[in-house]
Amino acid sequence: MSASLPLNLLSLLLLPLLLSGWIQRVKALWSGRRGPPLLQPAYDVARLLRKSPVYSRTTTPLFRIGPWCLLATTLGSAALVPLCGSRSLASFPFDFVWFAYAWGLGRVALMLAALDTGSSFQGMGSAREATFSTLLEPVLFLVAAALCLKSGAHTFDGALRSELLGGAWLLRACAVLALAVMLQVESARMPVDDPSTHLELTMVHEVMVLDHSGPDLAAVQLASAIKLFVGSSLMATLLNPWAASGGPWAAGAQLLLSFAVATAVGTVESLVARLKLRLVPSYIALALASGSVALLLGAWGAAAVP
Amino acid sequence: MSLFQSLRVRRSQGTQYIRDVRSTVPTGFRGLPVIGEAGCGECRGCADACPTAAITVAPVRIDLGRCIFCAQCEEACPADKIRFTSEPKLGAARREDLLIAEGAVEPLRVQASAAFAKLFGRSLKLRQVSAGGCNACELELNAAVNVNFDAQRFGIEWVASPRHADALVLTGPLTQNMKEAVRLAWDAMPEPRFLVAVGACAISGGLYREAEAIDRAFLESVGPALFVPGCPPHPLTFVNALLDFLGIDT
Amino acid sequence: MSLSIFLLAVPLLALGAVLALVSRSNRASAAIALATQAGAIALVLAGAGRCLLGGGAQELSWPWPPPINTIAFRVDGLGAFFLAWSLPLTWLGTLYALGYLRPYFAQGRHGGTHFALLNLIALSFVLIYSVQNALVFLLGWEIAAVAAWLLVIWDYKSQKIRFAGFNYLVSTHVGLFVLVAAFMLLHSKTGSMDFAAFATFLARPSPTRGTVFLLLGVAFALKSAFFPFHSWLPRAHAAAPAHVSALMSGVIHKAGLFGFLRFTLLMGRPEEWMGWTVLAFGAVSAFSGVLYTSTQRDLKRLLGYSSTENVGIAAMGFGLGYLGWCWGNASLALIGFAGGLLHVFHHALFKCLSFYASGAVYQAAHTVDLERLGGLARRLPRTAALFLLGGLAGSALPPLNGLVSEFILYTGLLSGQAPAPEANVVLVIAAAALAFVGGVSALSTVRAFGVAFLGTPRDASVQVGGEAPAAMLVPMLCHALLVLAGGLFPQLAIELARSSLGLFSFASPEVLAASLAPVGALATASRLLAAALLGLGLACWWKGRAARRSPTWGCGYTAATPRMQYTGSSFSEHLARIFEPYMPVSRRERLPNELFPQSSGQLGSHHADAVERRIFEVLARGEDAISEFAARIPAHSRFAFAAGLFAVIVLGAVASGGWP
Repeated sequence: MSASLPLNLLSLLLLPLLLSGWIQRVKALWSGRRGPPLLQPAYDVARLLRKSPVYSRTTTPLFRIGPWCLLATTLGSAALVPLCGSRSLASFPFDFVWFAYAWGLGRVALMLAALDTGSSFQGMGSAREATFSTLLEPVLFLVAAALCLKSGAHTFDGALRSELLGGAWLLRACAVLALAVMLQVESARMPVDDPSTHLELTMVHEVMVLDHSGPDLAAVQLASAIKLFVGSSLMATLLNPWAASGGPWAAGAQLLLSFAVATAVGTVESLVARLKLRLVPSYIALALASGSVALLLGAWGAAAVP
Repeated sequence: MSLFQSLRVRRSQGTQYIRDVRSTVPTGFRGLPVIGEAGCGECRGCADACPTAAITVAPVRIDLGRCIFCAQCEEACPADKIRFTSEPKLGAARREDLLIAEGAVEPLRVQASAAFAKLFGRSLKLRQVSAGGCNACELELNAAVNVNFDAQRFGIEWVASPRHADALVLTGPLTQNMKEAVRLAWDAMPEPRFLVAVGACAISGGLYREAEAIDRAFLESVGPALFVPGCPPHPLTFVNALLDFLGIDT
Repeated sequence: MSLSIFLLAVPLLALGAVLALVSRSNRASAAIALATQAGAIALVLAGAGRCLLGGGAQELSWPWPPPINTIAFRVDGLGAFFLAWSLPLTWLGTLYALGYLRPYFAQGRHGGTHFALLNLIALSFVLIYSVQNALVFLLGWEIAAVAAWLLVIWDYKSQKIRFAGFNYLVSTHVGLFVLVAAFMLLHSKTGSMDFAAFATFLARPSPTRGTVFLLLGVAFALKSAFFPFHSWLPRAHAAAPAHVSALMSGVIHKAGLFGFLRFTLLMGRPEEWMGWTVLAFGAVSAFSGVLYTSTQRDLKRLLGYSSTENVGIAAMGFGLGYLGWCWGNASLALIGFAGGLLHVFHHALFKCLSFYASGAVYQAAHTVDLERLGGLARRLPRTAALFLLGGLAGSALPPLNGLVSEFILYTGLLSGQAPAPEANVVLVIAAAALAFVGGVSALSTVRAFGVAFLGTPRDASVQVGGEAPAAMLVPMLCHALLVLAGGLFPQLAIELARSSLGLFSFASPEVLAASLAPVGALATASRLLAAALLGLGLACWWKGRAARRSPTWGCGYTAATPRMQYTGSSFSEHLARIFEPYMPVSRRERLPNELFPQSSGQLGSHHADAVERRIFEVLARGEDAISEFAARIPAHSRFAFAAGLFAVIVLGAVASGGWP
């Protein structure tokens, strides 16, 4: 679709912060508050861009580059995912491998920036983030491979939106479950991580960014929002019955489903307590199991090799 | 199963946020004191009764920055000049605005800062440091973001690190033990930033203004941009002060 | 004949070794070694260069007295590929040695032996990668092994280092024995020691072929430090000087993988079980190696285990190649072999870089213990940047070269081209394992770089000297440029390997181009990312210079010390605990138990190598069993015992004499 390119770009610009704002609104509704306006994350980012940063004396230039490296890799990876129900901005064979490793580079940049401060809090955050994301790495590959085997396509975009996935609802459900856990770990959501806690010992992702200020913090928050958006786009595409055909129905359904995923995230965040850190690997094992079931379903239902 | 239970609980709670924080007046709250214009016999009964020397006579003036709202002055006055109302809006941007003169009945109006309004009008993040506080002010500040007062609807929130914050909210009389920590927190904040002094102890030292363990040099070097009197201040006092300061009318 | 030119490199290097040995001054030894190695590189490239660029193989035969009869030399694409980078990397290592050993030279140590041995290493490469005769191959193998051992024990005054060297020597000779056994088996079936004769035998499937495959697999696994044959590696790397570790890890031990590929080519179409074995073996090696990498506190041991991980990944590529070949899928097979070969090359580049950087750390701080370092990036900014580059490449992160070879592997493993669904599932699980390995590798890189170079120094007693001298920086820079070029322009490395890939019977230029086509898109994405990072990096650095500085926010805590920072053990503790059955940990603690302790306590944890511990356990138990048995023999029956032993020997000789 020639119309998909500007639509994708538009959604990439507008929706991440809007989705974060929607999650905040859902949480507010669950707790009986009025809650911040939907565009609050955008206001926060705008405010941060106008502040002048302060850097720790212990840090090296790596600290300043880290958040922007994270943002660049996140944006690059977002280009590979169908964001608005139709084609992604770019795709090439086996681009989901690039996707996974680009996210890895962003994460490494943030972790190094955290260790750069020489603070034990930030070291703790890096260690936790490293452990959980390492255990989670295979999940994306299992899910992507399952989709590739089933659909015979080898690009992320092609595999997610393939017509051959049409009836494979069990496969899709398993993939969505695995991706949901991945979303929760990567975007620092409950039950893995509480984005609004102030107790350092309970933080995973937030404690890594305690020392960032001004535009750097804006970059981190924006990257988090984009990761959340990309994760929910993945899930929404899999749940979207019109994804294969594209067009206005697909875009509308995608939008609704993205907000539905955000609602689910907000609901889980309001109702479920955070897991003990010792139990998070078991939770990730759940995602691995789900991904494995998806893989088996994909392999045995595979499209004929061209 | 638990989702349905949660839905039922949620429905039973209803909405709990105060819809209009600007005009709500809490019950049972000792707020703005009004000094009547009736004759004063200059008996100095109020000034002698005040534990923090907040009252001067001829004419009668109450310094809200020192006032701990104990109402001993109200009891001591033979002419019933002083009366504490329930008005919660007590904040001020200048220290001298906290002096209540005779006959003043309007709630205090904080002078909005145009610069800060532009920067933080929609999003303001605060960092709280308790410099030897008794925890009363801290509890009330905590309550400012609960479901009743919900300061987050204005984009006002507490953050975990001063690097993320725009304003340092100081409570407590500023003890010597906390001197360095307060300075570290202030130094860690990125510009533009401002200081908010909350509670009688922070504004003037309160009951402890003459204690040996106090060191208020920090406040002399960095002047607060906003004063929120009270002992402890009501969450509505705090929220309204901030909203006025940022020019948010709602 | 160009191959004669090629072989002139051997006497040149030998001459250089002798001259370096006898020369009085260390500088002269180094100069001789560098000059002769450079000459050898020129000769080798002149002789074998045409082969690398697509010309056919070149052969030469020398008559020789029996029992060897003739020595056949053959330089084909595979040998030329390995030589094309092994010799220059050895040259760079020799240059690095000049800078690294300078403190020792200043104290009066004679370096001639060292440089002579480096020449011998280069010589062994020329022999191993070109000769077609098993005995001369073994000669080259042995030269490399002994030379490497002598290089490892440069610091022979320390007992630990001597033991590490001895451990290495024993292990490498166990490998030699297995290799000899395989060659003897082949000789018994073919009556000749020539690889050409082996080829005709190996081309037909037979039980002996399977046995030979396993024996050769074990021998090459021992040489290249696959799990569980790797136990000598961490000790050797910790003991050896940095450039020796680099060359061993990056170049010398790749001879094992070369040997494996050579015998693959001789064998022709493999059986399916061989492919699965190699794939599984590689996956286990990668998995175990990387887990150990994440828990080591000695930087060089850490990099050593990382080598185990990377050869495992290369072996996974070869396994995939085997499977593709067996299934008749030329594209899949080419992907597998290309990925494996390129990973061998890329690993040499980034591993040497990492080792050289750790050598610079050692020279400056006199320790490579992570728990004692910290904040080195301020004192050694160039070393820090280079170490980071090497580490990021090792974790296969874009836009560097490690990702290119792993990406090629992924295109094969995830392509779904296996004939059966079960096979597809297993290949995907292998890909998932590869992803996990990549994740742990990234964790280890962050840990090693973050703990050693970032933050503040943890141990005040460590005095940090200056940045590395030019002799050490130049090799590091060369490697760094190659690592970057490999990531941004992967076609260059693919061109280099094209001639070796062309040796496979199913290969053709069209199939090769088609199977490696996705790499082009990856390269474009890497280039875009690199440009973005460069731009952002410059902008951030520029804007941040004028920003205000304040102490790290530590929650207002006023008594923070550098010891409170996260250590390497704390960083990997959670992961290590999850995998504790595979990585036994021993904790030593003396914790205070009073309310107000008067003296400080101690807590240390140590991850021992599970395989090494098990070997020593088995040896110890065996030793106990033998000494128990020996103790049960009464003293006065010693004569009877000796007579019995004599009888056994005579009977054994008679019995074996009766065998054909």
